[in-house]
Amino acid sequence: MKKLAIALSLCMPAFAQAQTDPSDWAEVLESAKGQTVYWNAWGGSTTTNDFIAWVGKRVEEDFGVTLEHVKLTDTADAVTRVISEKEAGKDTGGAIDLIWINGANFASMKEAGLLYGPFAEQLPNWAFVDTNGKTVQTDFTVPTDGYESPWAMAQVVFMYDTADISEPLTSMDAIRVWAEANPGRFTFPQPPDFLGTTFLKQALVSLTDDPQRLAEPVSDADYDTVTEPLWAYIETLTPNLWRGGEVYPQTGPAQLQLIADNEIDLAISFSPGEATAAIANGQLPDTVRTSVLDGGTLGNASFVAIPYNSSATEGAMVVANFLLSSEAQLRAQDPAILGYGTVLDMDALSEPDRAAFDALELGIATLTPSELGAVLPEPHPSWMTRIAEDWTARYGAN
Amino acid sequence: MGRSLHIRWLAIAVLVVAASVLLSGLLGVVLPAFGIFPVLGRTEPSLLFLKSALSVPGVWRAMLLSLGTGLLSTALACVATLLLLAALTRHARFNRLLEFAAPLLAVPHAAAAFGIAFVIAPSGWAVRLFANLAGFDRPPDVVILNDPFGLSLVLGLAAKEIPFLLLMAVTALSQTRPAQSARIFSSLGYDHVTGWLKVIAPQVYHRIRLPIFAVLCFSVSVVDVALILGPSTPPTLSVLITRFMSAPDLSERLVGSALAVIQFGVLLIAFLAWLSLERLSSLFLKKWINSGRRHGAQRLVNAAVIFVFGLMSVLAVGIVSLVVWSFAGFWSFPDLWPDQLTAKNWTRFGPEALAVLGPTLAVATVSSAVSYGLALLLLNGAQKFLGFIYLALLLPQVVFLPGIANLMLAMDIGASFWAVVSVHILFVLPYMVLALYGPFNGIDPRYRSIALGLGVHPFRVFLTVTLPMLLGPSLAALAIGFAVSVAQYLPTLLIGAGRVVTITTEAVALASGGDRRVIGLYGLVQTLAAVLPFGVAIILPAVIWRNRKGMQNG
Repeated sequence: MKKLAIALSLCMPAFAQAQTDPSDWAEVLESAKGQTVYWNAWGGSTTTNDFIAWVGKRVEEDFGVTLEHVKLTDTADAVTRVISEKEAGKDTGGAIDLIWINGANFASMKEAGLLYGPFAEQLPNWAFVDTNGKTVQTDFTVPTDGYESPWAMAQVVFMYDTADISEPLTSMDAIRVWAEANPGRFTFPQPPDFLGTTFLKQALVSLTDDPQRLAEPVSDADYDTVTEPLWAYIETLTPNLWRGGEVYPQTGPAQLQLIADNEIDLAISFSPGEATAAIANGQLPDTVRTSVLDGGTLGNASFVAIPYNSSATEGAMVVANFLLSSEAQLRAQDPAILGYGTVLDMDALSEPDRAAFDALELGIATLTPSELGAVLPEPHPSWMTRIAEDWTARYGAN
Repeated sequence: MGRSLHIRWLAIAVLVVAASVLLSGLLGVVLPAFGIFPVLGRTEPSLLFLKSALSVPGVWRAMLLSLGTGLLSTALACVATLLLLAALTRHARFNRLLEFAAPLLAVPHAAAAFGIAFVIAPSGWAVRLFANLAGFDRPPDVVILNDPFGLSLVLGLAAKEIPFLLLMAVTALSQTRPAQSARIFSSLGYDHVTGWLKVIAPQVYHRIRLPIFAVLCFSVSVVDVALILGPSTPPTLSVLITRFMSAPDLSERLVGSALAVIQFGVLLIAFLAWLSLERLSSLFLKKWINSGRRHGAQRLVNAAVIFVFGLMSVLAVGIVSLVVWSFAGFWSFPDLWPDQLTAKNWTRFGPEALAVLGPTLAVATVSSAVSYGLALLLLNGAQKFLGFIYLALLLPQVVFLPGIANLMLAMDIGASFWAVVSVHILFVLPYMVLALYGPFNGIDPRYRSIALGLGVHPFRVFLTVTLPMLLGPSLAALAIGFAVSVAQYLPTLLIGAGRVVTITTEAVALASGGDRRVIGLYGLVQTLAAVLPFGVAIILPAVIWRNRKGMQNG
């Protein structure tokens, strides 16, 4: 199976050659004109949908590229489509041109040779990307090798309702102690949900003595030893969770509704600006604030990738490049709109662009970059899969 | 003679095409379940994945849940429907019931489930009412939704199935000559409900058996309602399958396919269980029918009326809550009403929602019209082989649709309007046949014989005698077909590849974010799209038959 994947990925340049060379940008722009790009992206967040609609308007104006947002419930649906197309031998004219992707989905598609590239580092706006300070060239420790282009930074924060919690809870242990005193007021999305698994990973990273170990793939030899502190923690936490751990919210945004319903007081988020935007949209009470953990919290980048058989490769690259423009990044970081972290290097920007970023209001519940503290690297994707499975066996199937 | 032979071959050709499309989809499940998945380089058959499917944590409980909730909700809906009819048919204007049933039927399952959830949840409307009286501001931390035994799922499913079965039963009822029977059993001294249950109910049940099987299939393999109301630790088998089918690690899909094959087995068990239940209850009921007792069913019927009325009220209040949520600003527990009402949600999402109504209605119109024609063709020409087309309702969509998508890709059929329509037909047609089968075969053959005896061409007999007599059932079938098409999510997404967008693909995607405002708004627009044809189906026959007394009871 591995061999086949390697063989498939060796075939990749053959497909890439059939399309415009990404480093010849003038040619890319020329071919992109008039193309329709179908961007498959999770459609569960109304703020993100609005942002994507705006991107569509802008690339139409500037580059004559039509952008259609295909709203998914799950990125895996797009992966399935590309697999099906590959199975059917449809190596050109595929239905998907751009996918919002990261982590394990990226690792799978890259390994199976389902992506076009490399293109990301040839994009003109790549020059402004912060490759030193931000994890934009690895995705959950897997090298991106130019097969996906970053467009937003995410970092774990905890949203808490100040009406019920007076002081932020700044360590995993503080959360456990608080939950003991306030049973039923905290929960997390049910693993294998992305955000729920992130909570487990965050706990693992915070509690383990040897975080370095997590950068390497999981192994049976020391899995039990490494994860022992995590399971001890979850074991004491679970009885004090919402519904006694018998029911879990199924997605991240479902937690917002639980806070608004005053069912819970504390929830995990992967977007430092989510709470502010949700307050503006009437989804959260304006008493919600965010906090991070003392030792730092997990962070990663969101990427866009182009399937190997995209029918609008050039248009997709134009969109990926536009997403890296300071105009798009500025809008994405505006907490009233999206509140995503930028992938750009402030020092590489022009003076007025930098000033525009500095002038952004943070919003009612968003922490400043310095308050956000240390960003911890994601563990290797194999950890995510393994602990999600393990959690399901222990708590998800009583 | 020659003509009817043509019709026969044409009907068989339609069946062959439908069945081969479905079978190729089936292969797309069975092969991976046995380890064959070329895109991952697996070409050797193996039982490994079936074995690992059976050792998935919670899989046995998941099977039991699917089986139990499916059987229980179907039985509940079926019994409640018949008892309700027993109570209501003596009222002259009971047909007006359908005017209430239709909109409830048209509400998409997911939207209905969200509505019900908001009424019965610990932080829902019912508890809020109590909280305001008792003065507490935190909802009780008790399990109501997603309870481990799936009871709220059972109620949610029953709430949606009762209107469907009611519509089917009323259509079937008109073929049982209820008025004549009632005169006879009344003259024998039976009270109305007891006589109705002993004489008419068995005939009605017999005629709606196929729709009941469809309901059973649906309830055993439903995904969206189970996600919203069902248990999650573990969930039902179908939800478990979707989890595996959307796992990032592609080899998990092999386990997912193996689970789908297991799901097929669960479905077969559900059928066998249902058939045994039928056997058992017919033994028991025969005794009761032959006992000669003329009274005694009234209490049971009263209980059923209260139950159905209560359940429908929860559903209706749930739908009202969707309306309120679509206009809500911030709205917290224990407030009975939002802090402020705002048009913001509608100005933000309304234009988009209305824009996709066009393609939604177009797909639904074409696919239900074509399906109607095909259904009549099949009923005329190939009744013996109808079983094949129900295959589409038997398997979880998430597993055999990729197979069909592959087939279309291999045949280089792009993601177009017509591709989507043709796959919708696969799901609309069986429901259409279900709705027409009973009425079609219930037509007194003497009408046709007389017309033929008068020397009228068989095709003209069909057009001028059979078809007009089917007006009511035809419109009901078209309305159901329309609603089924509007509700299709996975077929539209997978075959349309996101290039054919309908209100439902948008609604489901937005629902994954859990924002009740958007869910409410899209749920309403979805309901509107599906409810219009029901209105037509109810009003048209009344208008057309206004001066044909014999046709006015259905």
